[in-house]
Amino acid sequence: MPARYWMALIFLMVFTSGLKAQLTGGTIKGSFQTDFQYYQDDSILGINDSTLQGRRTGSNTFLNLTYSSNNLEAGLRMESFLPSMTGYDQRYTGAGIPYKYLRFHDDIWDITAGNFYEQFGNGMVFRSYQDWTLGIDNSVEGIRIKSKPFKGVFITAISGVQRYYWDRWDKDDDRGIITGADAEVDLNDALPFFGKKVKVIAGGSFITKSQKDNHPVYKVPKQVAAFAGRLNLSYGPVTLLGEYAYKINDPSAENGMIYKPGEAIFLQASYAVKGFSFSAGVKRLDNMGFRSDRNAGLNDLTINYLPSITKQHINSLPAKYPYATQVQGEMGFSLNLGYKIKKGTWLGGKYGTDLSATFSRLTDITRLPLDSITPVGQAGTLGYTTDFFRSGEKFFEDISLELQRKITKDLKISFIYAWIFYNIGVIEGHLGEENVVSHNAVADITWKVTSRKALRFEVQHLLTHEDDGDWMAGLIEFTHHGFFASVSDQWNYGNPEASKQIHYLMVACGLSKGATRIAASYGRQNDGILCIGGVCRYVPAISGFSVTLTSSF
Amino acid sequence: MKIRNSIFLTSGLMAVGIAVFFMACEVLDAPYKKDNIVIQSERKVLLEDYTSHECVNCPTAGKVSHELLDIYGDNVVVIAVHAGQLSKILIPPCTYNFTTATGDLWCSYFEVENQGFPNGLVNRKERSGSKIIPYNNWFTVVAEELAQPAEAELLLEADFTPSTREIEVQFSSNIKSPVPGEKYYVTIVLTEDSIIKPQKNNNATVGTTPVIMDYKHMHVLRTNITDHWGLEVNPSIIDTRTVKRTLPEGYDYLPEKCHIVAFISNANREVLQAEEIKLLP
Repeated sequence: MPARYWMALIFLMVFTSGLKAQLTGGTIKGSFQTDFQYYQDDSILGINDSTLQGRRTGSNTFLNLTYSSNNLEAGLRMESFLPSMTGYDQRYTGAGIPYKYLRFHDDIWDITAGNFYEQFGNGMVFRSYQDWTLGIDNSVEGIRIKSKPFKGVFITAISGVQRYYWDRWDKDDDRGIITGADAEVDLNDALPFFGKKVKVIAGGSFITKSQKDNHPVYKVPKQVAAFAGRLNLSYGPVTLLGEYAYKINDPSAENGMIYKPGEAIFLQASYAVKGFSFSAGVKRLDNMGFRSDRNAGLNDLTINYLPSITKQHINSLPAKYPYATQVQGEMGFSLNLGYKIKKGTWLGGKYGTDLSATFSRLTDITRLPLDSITPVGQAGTLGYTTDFFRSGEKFFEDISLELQRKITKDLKISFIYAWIFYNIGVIEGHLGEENVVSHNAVADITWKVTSRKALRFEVQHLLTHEDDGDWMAGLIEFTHHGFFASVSDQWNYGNPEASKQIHYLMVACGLSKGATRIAASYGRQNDGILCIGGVCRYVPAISGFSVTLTSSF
Repeated sequence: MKIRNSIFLTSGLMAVGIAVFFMACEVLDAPYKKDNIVIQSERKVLLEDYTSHECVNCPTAGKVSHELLDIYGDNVVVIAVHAGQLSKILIPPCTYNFTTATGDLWCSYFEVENQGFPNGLVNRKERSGSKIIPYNNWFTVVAEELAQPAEAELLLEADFTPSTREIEVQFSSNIKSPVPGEKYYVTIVLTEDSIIKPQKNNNATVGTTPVIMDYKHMHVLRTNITDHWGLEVNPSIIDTRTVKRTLPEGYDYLPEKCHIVAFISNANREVLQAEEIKLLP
């Protein structure tokens, strides 16, 4: 079977490569990405044939093709995981075309039959998306109708089933059917008398999951609905955004079969003028896990997406302890400040200096027993009561400061300091382990040697008494007109166990030409948690080489 | 015309939306437990609970298996398999080694540790492309398996001689509709209940966190009586055999807490029928 798909893939690539084909007046566009890894034994990391379970290689490959002509569009995505790379769910192993659609669109209508991605508001009751870095694809297969019946009015209705690896849906499937609609009104466009000074966008959405009652012990709702309302106001440099979501009783494996309704609130305010910006975010979640199969776990079949308010660090050591959204309950806030010191001043230098500061804090919500005999979270009950404003155990805290300055025309530096509190017991499930408190420092220097050549140096340090102890990391990167080469190392020199004071040395190079990029790397990658927007995936340690090829046409 | 279409479209979508909204709300009232759970099945389902004393979620999975036994009684046979690298971590207070050669071989063969603990196999059958069933799905999958007709019968008798530490098991297997050319095996193992040893835990409704010092480990796989993958049986007759196994000297099992667990599987390792009896009458 895979051979057949490979043949089809090669045929499609040859057929479409390098050309922007005109097919009876239509246009074909596409993109291709393949990641290949070879795993080698590494006695220091404890990697051998047994731990690899005989899998020496892994590859994830995607080919997207879109054909469009006038009001019509057709697209597909071919995928192959032969087998899926280490750290990705092995249930992806296989090949096929899990994403295909036909679309019609004009000034009013936009109708898609087949697979689609969609999001209502901030995604708190519905977000269908793919992120292969996280190994997530919960595309919906069904029908989507979008319309713009009046100026400033947008209506979307969807119905379908979510992707679950390679399983085809049938009527006896455990996956429920999701159906919903969203309406958004831009009042400035819809109501001419509203004026343009204050911009107001209001929206509302609901979604329902229809799943059979297949639970042998508990009565479960065959229809679970969730709805949300949102408002976005902006006036000059001030923007206010808020969304509230509510979900009716949804006993599930994730919440321990409790019947308490779920609630989520997300508020954000920002102020931005030239040289200064400030934003603040507040979030509270209570029992808001929502999946199209009440028995699903991991990142499977999630219907909604609960946005993160913490800073997403891009440097490897500050990103070692990232926050994962606790969908069953969390509350917290974040503050972000950005300021540019004017150029030509003593502090600002010749080109100005950018400063930014972030503070975020997330805690548990309080859960109080329903009565004197029922433990909190008891299956087959409402689970608990809660005090809306009272916080519980601290999950995460981050205080980060960043300075960026262009010293000369060719020299740019940046410094980051981050103090991070990380409740490893809750976030990674390592109960009993001490909370990790880390001090992180990063220095980054970019030197433009010539107009086409640049050198980048990066030094990082992580200081902690907990978990794996102290880390040090360094990177030297050379870029020259689409080519790059780098050497990096992460060294866990402070690990309490001497045998784990390991160097994770990595060499990498790559070349970009036009819309095509190829990159290769060889070395060790340490294990860790990779999070994007609060959604996380465990990445195991590997040793070996990898090749990535991306192209679009 | 365009405005008329727009009004028509908006009204239609709103009507559909309102209808779906009202259909979509099924708010339930307590009590939430079903009161008509009736089991009429000759089938006995094997649930292998892959676990470890270092695994903080494993007591929650253990609770699920106990709830299944409460509901289905003898129709569910549980083996708690302590296996893999996680189970070989013997750091205080969890210093007791529960692992067995059989458990490690099964764990490795079915690639369970790759998916993490706790996880289980239900009759070693594949669902959604994987034989590994997360514990939150055990209720559903066990119920589905029990809804299937029994494909085989399995009868057991056991005898234990304390002085020689010899276990003798007599079994009779009867495959009801054997697939021509298919091979069938009977695997027999020894399990033990009520082993009081520390267990890591993160669920306060199950016990103390982060460690339950006096956790009662149930259905623990202790050793194999047949070969790890069983003894081939003749599917065209009611095959009656006797197998013996002498426990090593100095074993620390309590015979009165032990059970003999046997199951019939095909060459694809799928389990057709399971049975469990006490080691001592």
